[in-house]
Amino acid sequence: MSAGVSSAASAVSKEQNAHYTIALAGNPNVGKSTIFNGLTGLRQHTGNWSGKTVEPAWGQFRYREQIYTLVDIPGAYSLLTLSDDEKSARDYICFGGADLTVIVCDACCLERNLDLVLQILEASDNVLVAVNMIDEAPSRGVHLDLEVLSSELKVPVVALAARRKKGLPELKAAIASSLHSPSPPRPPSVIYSDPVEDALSVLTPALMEVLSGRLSARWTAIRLLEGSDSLISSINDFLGLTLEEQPSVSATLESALNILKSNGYDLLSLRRHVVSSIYSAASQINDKAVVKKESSRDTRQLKLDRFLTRPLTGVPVMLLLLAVIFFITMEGANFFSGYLQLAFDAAGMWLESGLTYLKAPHWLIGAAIDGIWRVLSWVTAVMLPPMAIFFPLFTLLEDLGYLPRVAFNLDEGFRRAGACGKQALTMCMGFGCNAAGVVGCRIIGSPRERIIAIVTNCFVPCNGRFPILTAMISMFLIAGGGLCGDISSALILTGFLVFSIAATLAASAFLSRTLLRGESSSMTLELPPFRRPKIGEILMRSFLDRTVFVLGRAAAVAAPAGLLIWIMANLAVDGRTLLSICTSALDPLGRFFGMDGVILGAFILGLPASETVIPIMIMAYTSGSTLVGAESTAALKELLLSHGWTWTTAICVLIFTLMHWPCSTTVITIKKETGSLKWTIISILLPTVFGLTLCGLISWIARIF
Amino acid sequence: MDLQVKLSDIPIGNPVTVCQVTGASDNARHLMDLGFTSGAIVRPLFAAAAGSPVAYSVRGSVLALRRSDSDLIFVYPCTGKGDRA
Repeated sequence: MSAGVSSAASAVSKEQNAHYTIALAGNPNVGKSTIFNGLTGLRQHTGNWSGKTVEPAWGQFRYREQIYTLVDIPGAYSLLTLSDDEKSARDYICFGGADLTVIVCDACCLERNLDLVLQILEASDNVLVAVNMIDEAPSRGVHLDLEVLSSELKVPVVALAARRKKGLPELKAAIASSLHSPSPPRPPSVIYSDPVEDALSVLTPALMEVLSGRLSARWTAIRLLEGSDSLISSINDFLGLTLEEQPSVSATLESALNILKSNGYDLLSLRRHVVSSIYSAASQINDKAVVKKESSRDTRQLKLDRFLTRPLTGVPVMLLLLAVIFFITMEGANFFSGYLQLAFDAAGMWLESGLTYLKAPHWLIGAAIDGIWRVLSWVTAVMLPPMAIFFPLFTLLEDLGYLPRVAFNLDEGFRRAGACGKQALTMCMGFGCNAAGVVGCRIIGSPRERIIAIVTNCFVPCNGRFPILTAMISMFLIAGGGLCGDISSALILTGFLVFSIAATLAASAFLSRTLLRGESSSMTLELPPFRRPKIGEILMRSFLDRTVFVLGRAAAVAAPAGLLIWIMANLAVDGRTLLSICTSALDPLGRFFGMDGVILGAFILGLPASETVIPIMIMAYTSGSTLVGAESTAALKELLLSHGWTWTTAICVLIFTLMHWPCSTTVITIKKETGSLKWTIISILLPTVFGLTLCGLISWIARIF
Repeated sequence: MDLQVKLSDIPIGNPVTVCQVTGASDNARHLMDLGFTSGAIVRPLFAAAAGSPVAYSVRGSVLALRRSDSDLIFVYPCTGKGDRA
């Protein structure tokens, strides 16, 4: 994994100002990011599911006038691993050059965490164990003896409850003392069988000489004996030499392998022996340090889990939750949009009269008010509220631990489509932002299934596209307004979402029968315990984050887009404006697919940010006649109807919103994640072809009747 | 001990002890990383609507496996006493 190694190398240059670098490692979903945020004061995204962090994150904290750099590493179950995010974790832990590795463990399943602890103890010198979620242990019937644990592992152990911000000062103190007074050399944490130890004692001295302290000689020796190719090539990349070709190493490796062979070990049986030695060491330590009893909380969790996954209730509850979220989003958005529009209208008038008073030229007033201001106000007043409400609600479900249950319910569907069940998780991330969903696909181990998940991610509508859907639905598909209207809007939107999930499955199945032929392979999914979300904090934080994000995009993308459209609408060639030349050129194509040139043009110009599609459409329709202030839904509907919109047009726009090219950020991310132009182009074409085909079909049927 | 069966054939609710994990080494190793090691007690908790995946409690956590994965894990019924919880 050269990518992981190079990112680790670039890390070193980042850290020159700080004195010490500390890596935060551990199994997935043990609270590494929460500890990271607690120590650094940064806001790395947290959530209750495995695989949320796919890239190391850096932050700093200060303790007694000393600056420490902290690296939040993706979770891994083992250093001998399968998926890309785990490989990048392994590369950082083994080759990142951190001064100290803090291994975070979950107090409630310590035994499994100990496997990784023992593996890291083999690879690194300076290690500290942090047992997190210690507050949950008693209610789950777990009793830990941390002193026994510390003396068994021969490293310092700290207990903390990071979600409740408890134990963080103690952790800082322990980090400082581990760094300032390094622990004496430890005996090996895992002892293997006599022949293996004999082989190691032959190989280790030769390696010690070559490695000169850059890697643990014992750990490197085991990896060489095991013959794990990808890991050995990572080691060689890191060292900048080929270990097996060093004369002293190749000679001793030969004789070490002979010792193993004469004792009946081949590669496979050696690997099994290594793994089972680690696990039996882990369970012996666990037996000494942990007592576990059945608890009433486990029973309650199990009941909830059964309810959320039972055939009769699982899927209906999932749909109901979605519908409730949409309902709250729409109700809340209407409320806020109204006030925001009033404010923007007032400010716009004030701005216009101010500019007139200053005797600004006519074109400047036009560009500023009709161009920039109108698109800006649309994006903030109409698009922002639903996004700022939906996102925190969704984060609540994420924090509760519901997303893995969705993946559990949908796995069989994804398996039949030849894809990985974890694609349900990346799909859910796509509801927030498709670019984030594409990056999240690193949790999928099989390269084939990962490409499927990446290419089909934008089949689910991201946050920026939701408001287009809600606007279309409330204008054209719902008769009355009010509470009844909102409930039916929420239900219809849920229907469209189910449709988009079905389309994701269909597209995945299509890919695994054509371009990415293959059967779905292994899938293992951790179902973390449900945790009470920290409601206030999540609501405020993701609400504010989302607001800042959208406002930032509004300024960076929507405002220039507004200016561009205004210029196109006002620059005339041969008596026709540029905009009308473009839209009439697109018109036949648009009409064929049940839309028109303006709509198609708006989607093309909306490439940098989907939020701008509707405002661009309005500007194009109203260009020349600035009298229509299409800020309210009713006025907008009038405007659209006057430009020949029908019920069919609205349906086609809805379908096309769900399925067209991804926004430019997502396209760039896909290129980065796949490293392939071919898959980037396919990710643009596939949803577009799907969407246009459906729209064409709908408008053809509509023409018949 | 002589009555080894696949984990995928164990009905919901019955605790069993892992005997061994078979199959391609990477897959088997990953299952062991997740806690399915010989001697570990596994209990099938609940299944998805389609019958697969099934959620198992193992070594303090809950893990869902597809049938193709739980086919690789051989188990024998718990004797009750003497096994580690």
